[in-house]
Amino acid sequence: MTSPLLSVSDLRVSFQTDAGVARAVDGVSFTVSAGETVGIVGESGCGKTLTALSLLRLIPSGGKLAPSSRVEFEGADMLSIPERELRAVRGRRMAMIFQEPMTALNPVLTVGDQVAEVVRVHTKRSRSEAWALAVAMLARVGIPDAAARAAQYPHELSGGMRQRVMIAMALVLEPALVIADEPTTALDVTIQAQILELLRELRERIGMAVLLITHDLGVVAEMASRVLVMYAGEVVEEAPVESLFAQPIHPYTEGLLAAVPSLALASQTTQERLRTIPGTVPPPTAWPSGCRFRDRCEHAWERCATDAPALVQVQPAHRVRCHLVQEPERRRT
Amino acid sequence: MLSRPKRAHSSRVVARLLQSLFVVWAAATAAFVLMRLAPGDPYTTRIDVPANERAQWSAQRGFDQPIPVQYVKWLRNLAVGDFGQSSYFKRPVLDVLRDVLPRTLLLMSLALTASVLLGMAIGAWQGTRVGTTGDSLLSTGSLLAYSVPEFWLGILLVQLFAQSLGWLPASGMVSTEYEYLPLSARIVDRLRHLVLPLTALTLLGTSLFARFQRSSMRDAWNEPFVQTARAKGLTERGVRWHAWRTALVPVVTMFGLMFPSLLGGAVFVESIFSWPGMGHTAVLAVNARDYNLAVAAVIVGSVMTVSGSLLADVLQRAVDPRTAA
Repeated sequence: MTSPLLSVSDLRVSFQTDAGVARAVDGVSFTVSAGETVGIVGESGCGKTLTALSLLRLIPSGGKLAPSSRVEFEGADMLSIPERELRAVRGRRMAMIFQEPMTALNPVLTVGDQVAEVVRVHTKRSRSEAWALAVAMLARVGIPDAAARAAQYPHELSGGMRQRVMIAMALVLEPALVIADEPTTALDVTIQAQILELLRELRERIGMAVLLITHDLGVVAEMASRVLVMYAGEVVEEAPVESLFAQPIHPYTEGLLAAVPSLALASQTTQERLRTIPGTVPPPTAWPSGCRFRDRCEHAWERCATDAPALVQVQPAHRVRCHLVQEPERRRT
Repeated sequence: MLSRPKRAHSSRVVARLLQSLFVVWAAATAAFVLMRLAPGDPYTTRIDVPANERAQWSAQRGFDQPIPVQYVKWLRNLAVGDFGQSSYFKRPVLDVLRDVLPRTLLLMSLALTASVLLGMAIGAWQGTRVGTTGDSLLSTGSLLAYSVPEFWLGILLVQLFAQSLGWLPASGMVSTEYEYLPLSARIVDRLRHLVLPLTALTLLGTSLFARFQRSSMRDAWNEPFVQTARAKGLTERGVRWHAWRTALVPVVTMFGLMFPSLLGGAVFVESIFSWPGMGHTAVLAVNARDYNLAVAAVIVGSVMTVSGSLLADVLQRAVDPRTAA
């Protein structure tokens, strides 16, 4: 088997805060193969966005990477290569689609300029060639009358159109990997489906890999082939999408799946209430000892408080961080 | 859809111009009335002349008539471009303005240009380094320069560079021997006279622009699109340009509004450095109860104020597509 496109190992990012050291990302490892779509799921504050930003070495100021962290992409160590080489990767080989198309676009530059800029920065194409390419890309992401739209400013476009511009900006140079950080969260439901459909279509045509960051399991089910579930800065479960949905093992994953409303549920005559996971994510300055989920876990016993579970393999592609793997009889039904 | 905003735009322009005209008229009227209500008249200071003769001069100029009568006459003359006679300079007011206004505009435009360029450079540099030692030092410096009254700063500069060190002339636009100097020496002489008043005005303006640019740059620097720019693979310079381009909007507005306030600053600075410009002349005119000249000075000031705010509007539309309709 060839080496994966992206290989992340023991990624740790911490922040010094007034309340102590916040270990926002704490030992995350995973790989993404060429052309593959991997989803990272978790509640806000679990470290998924920071993980994504770290891949492009875009850690917010104050964030500290642990020396053991490795992010290897196309054979280069993203965390240690010189700025110059890093810039050559950003936007060209690895691109990012941000969550808020409203604020992630520069309000005083035309959308065409903002797409063309990527071309201009990374290639030797002339201004007019870059513009032509930008217009073509805007048309490709489904913006009607792209030539005229390219000369407009972000505030003149709708939210869905803006997100299409973001996608055009990320994909104009056909990168090998696209990180999509909550690409549909800020959009109306009807627009969400369109954007997902567009991403799927472009993924097939360009053959790129996608790292999809989301809190929405529905989006993951539609897009990803493999899923990482993150909780409190750690990966707690990793599995192919089918087995994750069919047989989740970690109680947190179970909770997430149970918290998704479904039409089947709604149509039942016995109105079963939508389940929620009690409690909230603990602050990153004070992760609980042992298992970080134990305070919210219905199965937790003494061992969970003293002994931090390791990520163990249960099936060839299925890994879980839970003591229930060794002691399944502790599971309460 | 395209024609409607355009029509709205042009009617807004007309409205703005009418509004500006009204402001100038109101300021001029207020100045006219206030000047005449102030004790004395243009000839009060001529104590060498018998009182009855002074009264006769006043009557000749119509200054003994009721204020409304004088006002209507003055307005009628103004409508045909006649600003009247300056009693102090004994020349038409327009001639006096033609002499002094360019001197102020020279000082102001140099000071404004230097202030804008320096202030934007310093502020933009600070805005991306908020909280660092360099930023704190510059912030303290600009706060100091900003809070010091300009006349005090002027006096300090004169004390230090003109009186104690003797490096630069303390006052005037040229030396007394200017007429006898060769061309190259004339240029040097003019520049040497410019240094101190220009420094006083520029220090003030720079601190103001720097403070403005710093805060707008700091805000822009934290916007998500800065991260987008970085993720696109731009150099740090390119990323800063992205932020600066949006941080420009409030500074450009400030530029227009600073226009008249530099004139206000020039009133003090010109008096201290005896710079024979508009500000200096305005002070002279008020003290000498030179009615026509004083009111004309107010008109010049208010025209500059309204054109400054018009300019701010135009510039803002040029740099911010969100306001351009």
